[in-house]
Amino acid sequence: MKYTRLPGKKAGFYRRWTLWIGEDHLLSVESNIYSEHYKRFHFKDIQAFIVRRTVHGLITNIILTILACLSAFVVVMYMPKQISIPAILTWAVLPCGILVMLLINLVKGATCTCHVKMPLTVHELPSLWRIKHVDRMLAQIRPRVEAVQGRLSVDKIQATTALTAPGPLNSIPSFFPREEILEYGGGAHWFLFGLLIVEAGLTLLRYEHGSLALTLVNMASGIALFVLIIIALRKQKARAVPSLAKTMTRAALAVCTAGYLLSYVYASFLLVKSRNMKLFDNEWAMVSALAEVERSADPFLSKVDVAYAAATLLCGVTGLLAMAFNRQPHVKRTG
Amino acid sequence: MIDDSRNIVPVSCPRCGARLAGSFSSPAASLHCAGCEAVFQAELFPALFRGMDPVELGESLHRKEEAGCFYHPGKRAVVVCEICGRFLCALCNISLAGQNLCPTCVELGRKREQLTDLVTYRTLYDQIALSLATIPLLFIFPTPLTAPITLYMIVHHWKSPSSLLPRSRFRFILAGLLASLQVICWMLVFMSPRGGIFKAMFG
Repeated sequence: MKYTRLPGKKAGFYRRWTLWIGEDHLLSVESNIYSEHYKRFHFKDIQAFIVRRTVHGLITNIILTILACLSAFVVVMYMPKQISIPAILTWAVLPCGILVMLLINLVKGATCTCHVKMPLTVHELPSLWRIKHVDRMLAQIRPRVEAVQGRLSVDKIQATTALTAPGPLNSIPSFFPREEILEYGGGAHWFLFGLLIVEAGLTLLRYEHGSLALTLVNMASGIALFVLIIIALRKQKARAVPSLAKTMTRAALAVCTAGYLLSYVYASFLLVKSRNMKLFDNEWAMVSALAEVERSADPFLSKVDVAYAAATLLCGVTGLLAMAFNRQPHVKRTG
Repeated sequence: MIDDSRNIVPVSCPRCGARLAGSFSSPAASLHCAGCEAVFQAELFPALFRGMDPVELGESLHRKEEAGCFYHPGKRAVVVCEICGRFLCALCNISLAGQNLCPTCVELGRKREQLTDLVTYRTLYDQIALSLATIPLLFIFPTPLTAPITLYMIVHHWKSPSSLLPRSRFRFILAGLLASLQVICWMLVFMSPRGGIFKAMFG
């Protein structure tokens, strides 16, 4: 059977999704490096395509704009005054690269999720994540499906579907409950993402001016972060939380674990290297000794601190944006 | 005056499973979820309102002279399996890609990957062969082992079913060329008149 490629492609770390059109069906292909998985959607059975606009594209644009501005600021502030043209070009590579990425994302347009409804199930079509691609795909598919099923008139829809009285939409009874969605205002996530930004600030402050008080505050915020991450992970399991916020919570867990583990192991190594084994008998003396380590002078610790601060800041800002753009009452109990 | 009435359609929200509703001026409509209040754009087709096709159970035999189904001797045969030739009743007949097949042939065809309409997974042997011919090149020393494996894989899987999508044998050919080159290079190293590495290693 001959297949023709339809617009849209989604590429993950090692997976790729594409959509193809055959004689009598759509073929959704999930490929990894060494194999392909297929799902077929026959034209005679396709009941509907359901598209929901998402904020991923908008958030990417905001992050890229911030990064472009920051890198341009760094170039303007720190670029030597009298340098050659190749050196200027080298300095301009990063902001220009980010600007190009921003332009590409703007040209590609708004993002969405697309599902196809079949008689018994609803499947996601991951390759269709740009509204532009969905429109182009529908323009190609519509005539093929209508050739098999016939044309659907508005009169038929109105005659077949139940009409509800004007009023709030949540008065409509729920149908096909898939999972129970519990009441959740997003409190743990809001606090978590806020604290991530504070943590980034504290890390940079400790990097510049290390002191015992700052070390203690940093440790307390670290403990609070881990507690909040656990609460947020638990909450997001059975509650409607934006998928990007869920991803950022998991990313925050990875970043915090890696950051704290690296700094702890390396700081312990420095203490062992100082050959003062008495420190290990007294917790307070150990914390004081850790506070005295000049982090900005140590090449490894300074890199870990800067990377950690940047990662926590990115997680915090992205998570807050995801929560802010999805601010809608996820408070209905279905079932 | 705006008509605020909404039609509930038999489509459930992909996010929360609640039922969707919307006002229709064309088959492309804006739908609202009653559960999570998300807004969707939907393109509806007649199959949504068609209902499920009734299951045909097959007619019982009326006369002795009538042919019976191979699997249900008491039911009247209506078609012949296009692979094995068995008589089938309406219940046993499986229409697939324009063919009438019996359940056994469908199951065998699925297992042997003869019915492409039922294939849900394919291994890309050409990609594996190409990786096996290129990635060990980075480390050089695994290549005496991986190059013959690559050549064996190419010969063994040259005719194995590959991707359902349009795909040439370019990867197989490239992998074969690279693996052959590796084998030739190692043969030159081991069998050179001076003895090469072989002599250095074993005296």
